[in-house]
Amino acid sequence: MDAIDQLNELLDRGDDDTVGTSMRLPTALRDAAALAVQKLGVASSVTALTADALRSRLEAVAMQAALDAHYAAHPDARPSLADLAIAAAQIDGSPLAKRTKLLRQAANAVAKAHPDDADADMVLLWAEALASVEA
Amino acid sequence: MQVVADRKRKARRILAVVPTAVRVEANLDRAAPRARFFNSLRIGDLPLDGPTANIAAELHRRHTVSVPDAHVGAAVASFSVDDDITVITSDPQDMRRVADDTKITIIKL
Repeated sequence: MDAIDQLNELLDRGDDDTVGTSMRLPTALRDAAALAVQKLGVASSVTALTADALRSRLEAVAMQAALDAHYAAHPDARPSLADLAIAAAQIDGSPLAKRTKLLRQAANAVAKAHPDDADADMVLLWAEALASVEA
Repeated sequence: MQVVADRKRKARRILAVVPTAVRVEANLDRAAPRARFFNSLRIGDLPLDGPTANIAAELHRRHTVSVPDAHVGAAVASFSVDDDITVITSDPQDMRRVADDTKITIIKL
């Protein structure tokens, strides 16, 4: 079983076993978490908030690792930045979803401006701006 | 699924699920070796349990759709009205019908 399988198996476990752990957190971060729990009701406790955030992050890591392995084995399966932006617009129910030409134009521009960290949301924002200028 | 992973990384609450009747129709056995990639994408099962089957049966009768499509409709009905629901399908028309009045976004494969 490789690391991705182990990670998923651990994340899928429904047991309620808990373990005491000692982590050194920045004081301000701990205080911010306590404030968010007490005043904003974002979670039942700081522990629950921390566990929830950690689970979300680990799920994203597991998914991305699986996708990266898939792309390595099947390079043609890797979606382009424009493909991701179109999919994101569809998932969001954005009117831009029907404007694929504009999204591809925005994707090209964003990829040139941000070659190392371009993502679908940046393309959507860029496309919104283009659409606004058009209007 | 790349968009789902990107959204999760940004701490957006997003859940990917498959109604189990759809898995049956797609011959997708999670225990089979060929399901390894699918399993690694953290797509959860929405089981066709008793209450869900009741809703699916009504949709199946009313709209004359397949059992998997009816299960998708029942799955849509199981979410909160505040949830944004996206259905990825090759058959948008039947999905519109089984969703009844629930607002869904459809992505056609």
